[in-house]
Amino acid sequence: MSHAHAASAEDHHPPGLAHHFESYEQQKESSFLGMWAFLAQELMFFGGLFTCYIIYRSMHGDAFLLGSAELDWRIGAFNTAVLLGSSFTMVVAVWAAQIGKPKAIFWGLIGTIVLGGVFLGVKVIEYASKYEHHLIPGLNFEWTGPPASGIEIFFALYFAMTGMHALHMIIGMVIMLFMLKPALNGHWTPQNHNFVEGFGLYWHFVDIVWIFLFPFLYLLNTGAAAH
Amino acid sequence: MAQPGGNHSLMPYAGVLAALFVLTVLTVAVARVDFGHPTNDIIALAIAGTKATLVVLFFMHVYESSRLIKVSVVASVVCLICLFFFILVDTMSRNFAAERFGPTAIENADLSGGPRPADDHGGDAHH
Repeated sequence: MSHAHAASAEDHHPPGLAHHFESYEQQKESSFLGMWAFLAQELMFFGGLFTCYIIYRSMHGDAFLLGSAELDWRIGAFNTAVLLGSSFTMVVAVWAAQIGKPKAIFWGLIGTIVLGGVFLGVKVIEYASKYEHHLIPGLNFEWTGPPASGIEIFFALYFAMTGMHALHMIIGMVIMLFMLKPALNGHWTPQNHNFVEGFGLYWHFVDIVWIFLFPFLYLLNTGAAAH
Repeated sequence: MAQPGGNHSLMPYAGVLAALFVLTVLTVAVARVDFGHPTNDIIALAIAGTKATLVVLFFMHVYESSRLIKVSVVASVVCLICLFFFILVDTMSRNFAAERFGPTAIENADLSGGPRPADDHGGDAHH
């Protein structure tokens, strides 16, 4: 813990400032630049999946519309709202860290974990219904009709993209569980809460991925269905 | 120690959240109207892009970040567009040859630079 370190090592370095940095500002900038480099890599990772989506959608446009109609947009919209809410609670945690309110950091993280849990719980229900309807490629996919292969590709992409997204959320929630105790212990100060803010960047990035997944997986065919 | 962004209230964040909710309702409502093939996708992309920009600027604090961070964020999006663009230039141009010169144009393409075989009846009379 930083307190013990600062007490024992009676150097002139302020608490929470690593010795190889000149100032909190420099430390913060380095930390965030590293996080953004990681997120740029994440963007390219999900970008590969979205490239797949664009290519196969251009080849199997009608099949993607039929596949999208199998998804319930109400569930997708609900989960979108839940995830946007979790981004807000994450922002609350970061805000609390900036002004030095340990309990508010704790509750911000708790709120984010709970909303993330709701999202994943809904996702489990959705996946289960896809299993019941024999829509999981490689496991039990069955479709009678001409665009079967295109619909199988749609669902392969659906599970790859939402599955990768859910995996990122699970990793984020595990990290947040480990952040609860340090948050309450006052580990993060207004001078150095870079871990909280860096983690917030990760969580918001995962939210942004879903912002694009929702319309392009769930909403393709609602216009035709409304007719 | 200066704390940029450390002393503002939660109200701007609540405003951003409200805007994100409104845009989510808008994207659902707009998707229920059939504007024709590319238009629905363009609208959905524009709304999602607006939502993502709001999250990046305000939730991720890029609006009040240093120029170095801002350039990094823009550069990562440029990299993503390069990824899309150069792969799609390949996959979406594969059918051009077949559409313009017949289905076997690529298989029959003469890449040797030498004279063409006399028995070639492909559609590419001019080149």
